Amino acid sequence: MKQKEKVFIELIKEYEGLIFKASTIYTNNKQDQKDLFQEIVYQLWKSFDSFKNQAKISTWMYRVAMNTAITQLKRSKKSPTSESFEKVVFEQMETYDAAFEENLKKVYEQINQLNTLEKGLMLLLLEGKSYQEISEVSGLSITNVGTRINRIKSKLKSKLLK
Amino acid sequence: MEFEELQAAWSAMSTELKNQKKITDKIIIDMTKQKYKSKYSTAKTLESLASIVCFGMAFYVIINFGKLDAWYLQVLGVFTILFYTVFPILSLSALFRLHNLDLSQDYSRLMIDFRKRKKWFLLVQQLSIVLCFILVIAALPVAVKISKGKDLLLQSSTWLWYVPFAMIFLFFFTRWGYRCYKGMTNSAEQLLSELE
Repeated sequence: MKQKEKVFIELIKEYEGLIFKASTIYTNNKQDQKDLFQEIVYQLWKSFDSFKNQAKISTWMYRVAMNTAITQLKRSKKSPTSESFEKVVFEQMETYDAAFEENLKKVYEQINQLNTLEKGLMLLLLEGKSYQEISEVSGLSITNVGTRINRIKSKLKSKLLK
Repeated sequence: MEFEELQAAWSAMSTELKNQKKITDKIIIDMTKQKYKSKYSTAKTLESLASIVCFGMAFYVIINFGKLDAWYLQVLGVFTILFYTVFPILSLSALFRLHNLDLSQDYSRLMIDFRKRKKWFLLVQQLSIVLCFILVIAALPVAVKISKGKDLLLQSSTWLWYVPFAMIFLFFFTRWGYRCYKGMTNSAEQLLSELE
């Protein structure tokens, strides 16, 4: 195996969780999630040469993952099945905890109310990224990121009150 | 559920996922190769087939160009050759530009880049639709002259049924085709509006 492939494989294994989470927030069922996961890995491989440490690895990965998700969404118009996000996540995990599943269900219910861009911002926010990093991934100004995040938070709050 | 609670649940999930690494070297290599093959086979089959047909037609007119003995037939012949060679190249390159979009750039730049490429792609389609109507008229006398040696422009009877029939067929066919492409752009427009 070539050195480049080895490095790439190690990188994917290291950031497997990131790709998995990004692919679950943009899809509604297991098949779409698997397809998107695969597509993200492929796009990362395609842009691996041009990456060359220009940005932080995680920033580059989030960018590619989010961009792949939104371009993939435009192509696929499959109707979502009834399978829920948390079920897909739980299939990935070995342990089962009913309370944890309930919590995750709520998280995904909240995310599902957001539009495509907001979902991406929410993912980065939940991942604990700073406004600066979110700005680097999304291309929005830091002020714009702040405004949008406040809007997302109030949107979620108002949905909860209803 | 407050935002802090959402974040706590998300971090718990992240920790759990970190401990459950399921992906192997083989899976990564397999999925990359599989995607690569499927992407290129679809693009190759659909787009290249249409181009081969067009290039074949152009080649047919070029090798028989000597049979076009009147100036107006030669003009129509040149138009036909140009259409069959230039448009497949333009259409293919526009499509490959869409496929080769750099997904490692930031979201806002990506969407702007994507819209530009889509616009160009649609423009090529629009132009080819308009020229297709002209081609329908231009290619017939050329084809008849080459295959049967008759100058159709001097015989009006064929035109009476051919032109209306071809125009009606083209109208519905191009409308259907263009609507398919337009559908693709609408979703891109919607995503761009989220940025504003």
